[in-house]
Amino acid sequence: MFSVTFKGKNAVALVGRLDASQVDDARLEFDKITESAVMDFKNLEYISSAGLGILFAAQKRLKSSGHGLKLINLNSHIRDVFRYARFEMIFEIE
Amino acid sequence: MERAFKKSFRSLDAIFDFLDEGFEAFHVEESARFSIKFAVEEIFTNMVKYNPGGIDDVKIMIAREGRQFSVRLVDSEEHPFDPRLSKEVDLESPIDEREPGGLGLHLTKEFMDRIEYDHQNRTGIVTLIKYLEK
Repeated sequence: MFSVTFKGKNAVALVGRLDASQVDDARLEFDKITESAVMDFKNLEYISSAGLGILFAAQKRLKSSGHGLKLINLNSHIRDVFRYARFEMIFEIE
Repeated sequence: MERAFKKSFRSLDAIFDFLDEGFEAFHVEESARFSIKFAVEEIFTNMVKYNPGGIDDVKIMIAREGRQFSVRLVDSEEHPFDPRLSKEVDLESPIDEREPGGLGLHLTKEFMDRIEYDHQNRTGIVTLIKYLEK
């Protein structure tokens, strides 16, 4: 199960498990983000490399127009994934 | 424990449920579970993406010997693909120069203590090994 909730234009919350079976739907949701936004991972339990790929693509698209995603409330496992992937260089993480 | 799964991304829910059963049965500590799921998804989805021709299901076996927990994935495979030999990933370039490809296998190697690969009789066998603390 995975879902994306928009709380206004600049706040997005992810819920559940972002794995390879969810990325097509997730990509459609991420495409709706057109300016800088805060993405809340509080209720995101799991992310796979497929999930990392679409997050990376969203950030690359936003950065090219001077915007970007700020990620908050990552659990310790997801924080490890981001550290090993050197995604702290790609995203602002709080 | 052993179970077969259709070669489809839609099998992931059932695979995660099977892993959770294995974690409980073999008393796998909470801290190791995420990384094992990550690695199993990576190897399984590679089998779905890069070896779709095989009509057989992917067999997944879970075992524990002492502190060594292993997950073995068995797939019919025409051409050998050893995940241990995946190319190095660029982790240092700025975002506009960086590509995310190859990241999954890089992270799988980081998360697992050992990965074994064997290819015999058109069958590929990947074994992911994690040493548990308890």
